Amino acid sequence: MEARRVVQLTLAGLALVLLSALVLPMLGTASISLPAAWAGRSPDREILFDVRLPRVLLSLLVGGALGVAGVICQAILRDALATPYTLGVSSGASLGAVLAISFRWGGVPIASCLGAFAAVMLVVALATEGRRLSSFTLLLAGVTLNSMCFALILFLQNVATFGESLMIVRWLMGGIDTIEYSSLAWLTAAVLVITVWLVFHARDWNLLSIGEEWALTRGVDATRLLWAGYLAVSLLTGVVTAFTGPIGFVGLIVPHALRLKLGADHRLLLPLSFLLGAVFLALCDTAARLLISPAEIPVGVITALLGGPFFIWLLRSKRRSVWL
Amino acid sequence: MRYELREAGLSYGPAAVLDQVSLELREAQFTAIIGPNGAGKSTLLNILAGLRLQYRGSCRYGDREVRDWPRREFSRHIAFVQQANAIEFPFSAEEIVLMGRTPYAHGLFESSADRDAVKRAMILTDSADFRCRDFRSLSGGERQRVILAAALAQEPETLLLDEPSTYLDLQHQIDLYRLLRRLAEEQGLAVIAVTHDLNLAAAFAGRIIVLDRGRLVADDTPAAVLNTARVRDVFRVEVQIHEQANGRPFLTYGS
Repeated sequence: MEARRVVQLTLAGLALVLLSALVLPMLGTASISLPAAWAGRSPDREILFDVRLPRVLLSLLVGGALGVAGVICQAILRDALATPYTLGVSSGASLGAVLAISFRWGGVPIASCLGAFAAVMLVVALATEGRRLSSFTLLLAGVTLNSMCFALILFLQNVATFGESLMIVRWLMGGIDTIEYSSLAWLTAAVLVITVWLVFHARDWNLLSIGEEWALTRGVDATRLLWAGYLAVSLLTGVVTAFTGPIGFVGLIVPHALRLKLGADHRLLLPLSFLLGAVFLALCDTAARLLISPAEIPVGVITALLGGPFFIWLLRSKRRSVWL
Repeated sequence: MRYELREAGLSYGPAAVLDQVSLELREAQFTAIIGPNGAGKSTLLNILAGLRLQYRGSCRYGDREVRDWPRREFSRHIAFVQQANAIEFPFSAEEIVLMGRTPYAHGLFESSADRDAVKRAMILTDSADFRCRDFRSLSGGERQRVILAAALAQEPETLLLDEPSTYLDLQHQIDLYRLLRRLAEEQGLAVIAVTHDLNLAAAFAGRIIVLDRGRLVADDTPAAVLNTARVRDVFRVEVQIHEQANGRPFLTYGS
């Protein structure tokens, strides 16, 4: 992998992110004028800077985080179809949020973060054999936890009042709302720190995505890397899900499309999954705002409706390649 | 540097899969490890590769126990050729070989010295022609050569191989064993291969180590190790042993 290629493509991706951040907030039900907003005139200023811009920025950040989390999950489990869902993180976060809604604890984001964290602890405890973390047991534990969490969510929704039940459903569909700049700032810091750390270990992810022994016999501490990767995925998914609910498929589509075009090297895959994941989710969220405006479609519905058919195509093309 | 094992062993639970093995392995020698299934061959190889650190007894490489070597430094001395395994992601053959340079990595990108080592390794294993192809699209023989090139790109002193000829046709088996012999004799590597093919081991290896039920039962030249009584005892097969023109034994078995 040449440094020049990575830099060029990363800059191109960055340009797309900036373009999205500039253009997408201008689109919406109410037409606004940029000079008016800039001059501080109402309501243009409020619509642009307090409502649309933070929402677009949040969707960019969440999309990027989900893209990167997907790549790392796939490397850890050595499976192009793995996502944070497969590891049980997303369903833990969902259960936390649903508990908070059902019992009126308030602080749904905090509850969902705690849920993600609890899921991580549980899955890691189940998958630890001595000091080793086995990716196969990780997968099994994740899948098992998934079905248990969803059983509990169904139960809670069943006994909830009508209003709560509606809130639960809305949350589970995933959606991006406008957000305070202060929350956005610390969320950005957390996501960027984790992503940069992951990118700096890109060569090690290449080795781990081949196999643990492959990495070990080439001087990489695979066990430590596996732990770090799992922690990174949990943090990324946990904090992001806390604000938006579970949003599927970004972490599946974006890395897979990039691998088809650019190959499997994580030095390209990680930064570009972040940047294009960001653009993809920002576009989906804009579509969610615009398609049936003034009503809104939850963005989880858009990504799933785009992602579902893609996922099936992926499965089929994978099977076909076995026969050819 | 050389390996020195003193009463090395390993148990899974109460059962010892390797027991009281003492031997030395040195540079410029092609050693084959043979034995029936479950004899402890792969366990021995894994101990040598630093993948099983909970071994009993002593297994020193150079002046240090294998378990005391820092992994990165160790992998500049020892390369391990795993069986050409299934790879999930679309890495090119060259990218796979480049991963062999990880023990020398500084920063995120490969140096020109890394590229040169990769080129040499791919030419040596005759795999340069398909360097840009997706590893998953290669045939079993091509994959094995790429994996071997990745190990050679580590510029090791010792090359460990786990049943390297499993997926190869006859011609590629012979080519591979010729190359292994050359690496030992001309480049001075210690080449240590676990194999099930007694005739390939007899024809190319300078030394054969026989394991049976976790114990070392013979360790000598092919001619000294392979006799009808031992093959009967260890493998439970009746064979005839013929001496070839070059003095090496050749095994045939009746049906």
